[in-house]
Amino acid sequence: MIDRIVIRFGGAVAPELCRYVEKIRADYISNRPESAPGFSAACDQLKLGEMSMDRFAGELAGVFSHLGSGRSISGLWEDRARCHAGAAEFLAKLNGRRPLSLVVDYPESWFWAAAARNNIFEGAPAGEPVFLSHAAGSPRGEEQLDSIYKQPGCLIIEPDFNRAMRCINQGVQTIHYVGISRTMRELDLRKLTPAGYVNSTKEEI
Amino acid sequence: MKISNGKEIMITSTGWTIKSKGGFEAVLLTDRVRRYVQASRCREGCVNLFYRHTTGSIIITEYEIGIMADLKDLLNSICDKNRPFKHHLRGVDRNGHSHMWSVMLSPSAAVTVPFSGGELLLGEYQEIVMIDMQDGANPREIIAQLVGF
Repeated sequence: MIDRIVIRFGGAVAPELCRYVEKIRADYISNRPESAPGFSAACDQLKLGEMSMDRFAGELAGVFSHLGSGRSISGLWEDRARCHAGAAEFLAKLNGRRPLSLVVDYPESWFWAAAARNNIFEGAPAGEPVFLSHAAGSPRGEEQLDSIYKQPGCLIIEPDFNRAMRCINQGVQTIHYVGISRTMRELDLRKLTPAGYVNSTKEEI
Repeated sequence: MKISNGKEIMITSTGWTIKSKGGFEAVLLTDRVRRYVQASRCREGCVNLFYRHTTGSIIITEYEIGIMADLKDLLNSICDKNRPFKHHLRGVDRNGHSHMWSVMLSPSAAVTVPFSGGELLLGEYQEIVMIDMQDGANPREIIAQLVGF
C-alpha cells in the first residue's frame, strides 16, 4: 500500500550544472586573473543557490566578453525547467490524492524560480521540499535521504538510474523517471494515477 | 533497388553516441528509434540497432527498474562480478564480468524492430533498452540501419 510519493528533482543533471559552473570559473579565471576573486565568489554563490541563474548569466554577460557561457548555462537550466513544466499538472493532481514529498538537488533559488515559472505548486501546494544541494553525496545528505525513503509505504520517483537501482535493491518501491507518460503508466499500473488521466506512451520528450 | 510494386527500397544508416555512466546503466532508446523511423519517411520496413562494444547489449524488455535490477542479479548469479576472471591476467582492465554478461545477452547485441505505417510495431510494454555493463562512464556507440520504403 502506497501512502506517500517522493519525487526527486534534479538527479544527474544538478551535479552536471555544478560542474559546468566550475568549468566556467576555470575558463574565466585563466583568461582574466585580475577579476578572479569577484567572479569566483559569484560562482560560489551560484552553486549554493544564493544567486539566481538569470542574475548570474546577466552579470556574466556584463563583465565577460565570452557571452556564450552565460547564455548556455542559462539555457541548460531552461531546458530542464521545460521538462518540469509538463509535470506541473501531474504534481498538482497527485498532491491532492497522496501525500507528496519533493527532494530537490538544485539550489533553492533555482528550484523556486522554476516552480514559479511553471506554476508547479499552483492550487495544490506540496509539502516543503527537502533541499539537498548543500549536502548531496555527503553522509548527512545520505542520512537525510534514508530517513525519507525508508518510511513505510513510500514510492520513490527517481530520475537517476543508479540511484533508482539502489532504492529498488533496498526493497523500496521505485519508478525510474524517464518521462511523464511512462511515469504515469507506471502509476496507472499501481492504481495511483489521478482520476481522468488518459495515458499515452507514443511520444516522450 | 525496386520492389515488385515499383517502390524503391531505402537503406540508410546512422550512428548515435550515447552518454552512459556504465556499471549496468540502462538507457531507453525507444523514442530515439521512433524519431529516426519517422524522419526517414519510410512507411514499411525494419530498423536494426547494433551495439558497437563488447561490454553491453541492446535488449527489448518492459522498462521497469525492478526488471533491470532482477536482470543484473540474474547475470551476477550466473557469473559473479568478483570471480577471478582469466581476462584480468592480461592486466589491461578488470571488466571480465562485463564481457561475460554481454556474451550472455549476445543475441541482443543487435535487435531488429519492424515498423508499419511509420510506427514501430512494438508491443504495449516493449521498450528498446541499451545496457552498458562496462565499469565507468564512457560514450557508447550504436549503429541504426533502416531498410524500408
